[in-house]
Amino acid sequence: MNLKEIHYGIEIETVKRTREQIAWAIHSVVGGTVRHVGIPSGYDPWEVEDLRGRVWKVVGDASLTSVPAHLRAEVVSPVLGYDDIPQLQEMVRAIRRAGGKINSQCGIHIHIDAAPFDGRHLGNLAKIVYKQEPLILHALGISRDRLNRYTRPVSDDLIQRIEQHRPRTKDQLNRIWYGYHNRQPQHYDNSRYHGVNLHNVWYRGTVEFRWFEATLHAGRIKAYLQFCLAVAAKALNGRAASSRKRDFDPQSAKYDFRVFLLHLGLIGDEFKTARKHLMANMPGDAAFKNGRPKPEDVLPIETETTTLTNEAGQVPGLTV
Amino acid sequence: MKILIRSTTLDGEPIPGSGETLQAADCLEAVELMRGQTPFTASRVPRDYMTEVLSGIEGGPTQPLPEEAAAAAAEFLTRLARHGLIEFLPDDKASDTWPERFLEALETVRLSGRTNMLDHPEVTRLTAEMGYPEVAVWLADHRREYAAFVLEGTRPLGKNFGGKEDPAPCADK
Repeated sequence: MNLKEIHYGIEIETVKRTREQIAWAIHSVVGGTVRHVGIPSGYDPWEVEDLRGRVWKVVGDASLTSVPAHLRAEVVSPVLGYDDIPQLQEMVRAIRRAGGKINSQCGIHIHIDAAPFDGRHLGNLAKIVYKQEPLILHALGISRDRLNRYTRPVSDDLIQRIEQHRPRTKDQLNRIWYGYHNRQPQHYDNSRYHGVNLHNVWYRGTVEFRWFEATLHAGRIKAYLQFCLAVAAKALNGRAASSRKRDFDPQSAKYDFRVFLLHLGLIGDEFKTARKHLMANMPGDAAFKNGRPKPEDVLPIETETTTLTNEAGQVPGLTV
Repeated sequence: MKILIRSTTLDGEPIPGSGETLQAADCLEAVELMRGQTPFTASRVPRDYMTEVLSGIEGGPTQPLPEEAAAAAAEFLTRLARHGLIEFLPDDKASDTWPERFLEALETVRLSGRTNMLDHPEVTRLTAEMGYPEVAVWLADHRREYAAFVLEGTRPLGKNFGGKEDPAPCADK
């Protein structure tokens, strides 16, 4: 399955502007009608129904405690496709122009449609992420606080149980994820606070990636989306995946991560900005595994060639 | 519906905050008005006009528009907005006028004598405290409009989202 065929959704948290203002900023890009739903009052939702009939929501978010309640807004997109990325980027720019800001409490969550996944694919996904997690976490520059609370890494225990039981169906993976067969997952289940949240597979039908610090930089958001879609496509297309955790080597980190991105299929001009943004935090050199050789390390190679000739002026050798 | 058709640079890049406004009942009428702006496009069939405009922007053959005329017009405008060439504006029913109890709330705060009315944060806090939460929300977001009201008694200005554009060091920002 190509990464461009996978559907996704995104949640972007912002501060400093009311939900109404953010809704109108979205409207300026998608058109349609803006409606104050207001119920449930805890979320105080606003909705923008765009010209295609899709609904963008702007809801309150109680976790953004550093600003007054009326200045907390979380944008929840409808189900989107790969072609919608430019529109999403334009929408992010509109929110920025409207004065929307982010702070350290804000985050971005990306949801990937879990319909094409079975238990084996989801196991692959967990293993791919587990193997490269030291690089991924470093590349995304996730704060220590977020890592400890909302974006916990994939646990060794989960990977061991996946390796041991080799789940084929979502139900089999459900038992591994919860430790029992959870037929009625609740929204605020504690297991959701992982960078890769599989709890959502059974709660909402999506795989949620919770790694990202918030940004209103349209290019970075596009990079995050392409990265998640590429990881998902890799998990869907692979027959199996290795779960041997890669060590983080500062000297080769940038090179290793670039190789990982290329393995995911993020090759060529289309993904140039994705590679740029994703590798920006990485130490080392993108082109040399052991660091770029210094000029003095490279000895000039001097060659002397002497041609021996015999008295007849011919080069000696085999003659017939 | 109301649309801002942005001016573009010679390279076809939209210039933020620029352009002219166009008002229409729906997407179809908006496309009709756009088509009628020049004699070169006025003679074209709407579908051909939309396809030509999109292929000029997106380069080469584009994703075909839906069969149904209204859906095609909606898709056309959506794709123009995706490239930042148009912006949908709030209708004139102005979402941004002050709340119904605005004057009543300010009068209550003024008569309480608890603050200088130029102290915007304190006025905001007091309006919430005195039972006018919607006015407090409006005040928090409309510092300039409030200042204009207190000093000159003018009505609040409509908010314009297409304001100051921050410098974009990255082409994709």
